[in-house]
Amino acid sequence: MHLVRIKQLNVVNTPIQSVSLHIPAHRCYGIIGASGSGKSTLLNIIAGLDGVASRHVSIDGLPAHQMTRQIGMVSPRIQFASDIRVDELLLQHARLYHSSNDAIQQHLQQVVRWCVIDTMLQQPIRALSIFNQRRVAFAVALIQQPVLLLVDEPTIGLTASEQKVMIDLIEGLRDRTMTIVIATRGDAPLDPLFDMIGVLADGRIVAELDNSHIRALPRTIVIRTDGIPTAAYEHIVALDNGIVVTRRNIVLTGDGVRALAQILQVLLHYNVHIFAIEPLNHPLADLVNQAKQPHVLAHRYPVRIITSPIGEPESPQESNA
Amino acid sequence: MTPLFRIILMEHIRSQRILVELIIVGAMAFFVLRNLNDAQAIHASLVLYAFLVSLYTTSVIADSSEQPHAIQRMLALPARHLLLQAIGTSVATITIASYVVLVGVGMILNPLAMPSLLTLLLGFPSLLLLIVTAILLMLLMTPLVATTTQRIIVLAIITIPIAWNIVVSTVNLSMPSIDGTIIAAMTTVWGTLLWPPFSVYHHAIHPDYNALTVLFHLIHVCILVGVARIGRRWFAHKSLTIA
Repeated sequence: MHLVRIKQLNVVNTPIQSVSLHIPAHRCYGIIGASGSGKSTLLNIIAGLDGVASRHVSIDGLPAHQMTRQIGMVSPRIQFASDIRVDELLLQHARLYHSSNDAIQQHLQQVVRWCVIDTMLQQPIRALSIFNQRRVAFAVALIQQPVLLLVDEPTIGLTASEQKVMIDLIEGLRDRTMTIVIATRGDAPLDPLFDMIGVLADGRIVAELDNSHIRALPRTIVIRTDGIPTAAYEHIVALDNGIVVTRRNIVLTGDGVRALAQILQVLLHYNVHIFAIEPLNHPLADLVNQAKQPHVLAHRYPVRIITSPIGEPESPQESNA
Repeated sequence: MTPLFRIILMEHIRSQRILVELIIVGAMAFFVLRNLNDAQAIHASLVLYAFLVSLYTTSVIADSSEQPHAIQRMLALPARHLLLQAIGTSVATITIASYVVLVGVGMILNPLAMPSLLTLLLGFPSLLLLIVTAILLMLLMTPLVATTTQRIIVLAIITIPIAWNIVVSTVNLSMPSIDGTIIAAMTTVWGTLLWPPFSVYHHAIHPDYNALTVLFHLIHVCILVGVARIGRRWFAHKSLTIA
């Protein structure tokens, strides 16, 4: 069942040339592309904010502009009035959606719990860090429990540790019933979130990756230790060709990444202290770079894998089934 | 729409932009209400003040409604045009409230020179019509509602009639008389567009009700409904952006 359907969308004066996209319900879909490729424009159109183009987007069988109350949107450009308190802001937005006080309180408690903002409710927006403001923005977007949550660059401007918390927050939302669409330039490790990825380049979705493709994206992982004994060294290099071992570090590339669990067992066996296990590359950033040659990417990850063939849309009845 | 109206109103009251309205109210009280001795002049100034303040407040609120967080709020509305209704209601509320405050201040500062309460009350429907006219025209000239081309057209429709005497005399000098006649005839068309607000302004100060003035007000309301429908249509097609 597809929640969002876009067919051959062309918007003048924007990078969007011919976007066809089918986003399945209850999944997390990543739209990745270089800066200026039209990701944010596409999110705006899906949100029903483009008076003309949004009419060509179908959400749950209806035009997007008729479904705006079912859509939540988070963007780094959304900055709330600085003097308003967080609880006042949430209450304001809750009143736009719900009429009864019971419903308002119930939804407020839910979003406060989801976004872990209970300690900052009494604070004015200006007193919050960018990260906490971003969490409040999530709470505002979730206040009506949207069917579709659109998120633009959720980790931009955040530190590495904040990015991890933000990814955990979105991961928590994935378990709920909403569909999530995240637009990113690929410069943050968001790939574990995605069930599917569409690569936006040349004004269209040039490639689509499903779950297995995303998990198989080339990665380089480094394991930093306090020193690797010779016996452990010999054991590890014998595991795979894609493993480079130095005195203190182990770098896994290609198929070598699959041997991570075995390597950790070996290191524990030899009582090696592990300082960190961290990625050396962002697979999504690699994908964005590859999108400079769309035909190559399209050949590797053809669009037809995930979406229905263009020209054979499912009927709304099928979608609802 | 009511929660959104409250939000817009509170946001404007909390912003620094309301200082402009407050300063104008202070200036009106200090320079106009305190010094003028002619009731008609005071009434005319108050009505003109309401017209200009509604123009200013509309532009300010429409501008702040174009901010990404305000557009995000729009997602909560069942229909897009409700945002315009909320903006219009907020502006009218602010304008009328400040008008009432000024009348009250005038009654205290210079009670003998103020128009009678009956005159003010009788002129109020026309004042309301004038405020709605100002709000609608200004909304049609804001980037929130109209595209650049549409705004230029609205601006031309408003400014050409005002500057028409200068334009016609210049054109007549350089064109054959027949063309000048056609252009002179067009002035009637242009004049028709602008005449109603001027007449409403006059009626707000000199509220004498008869069948003709009631009919005229009805015609004006019909024109405003048409203008509102145009604004609603433009806004429905407008591309708004958050990200």
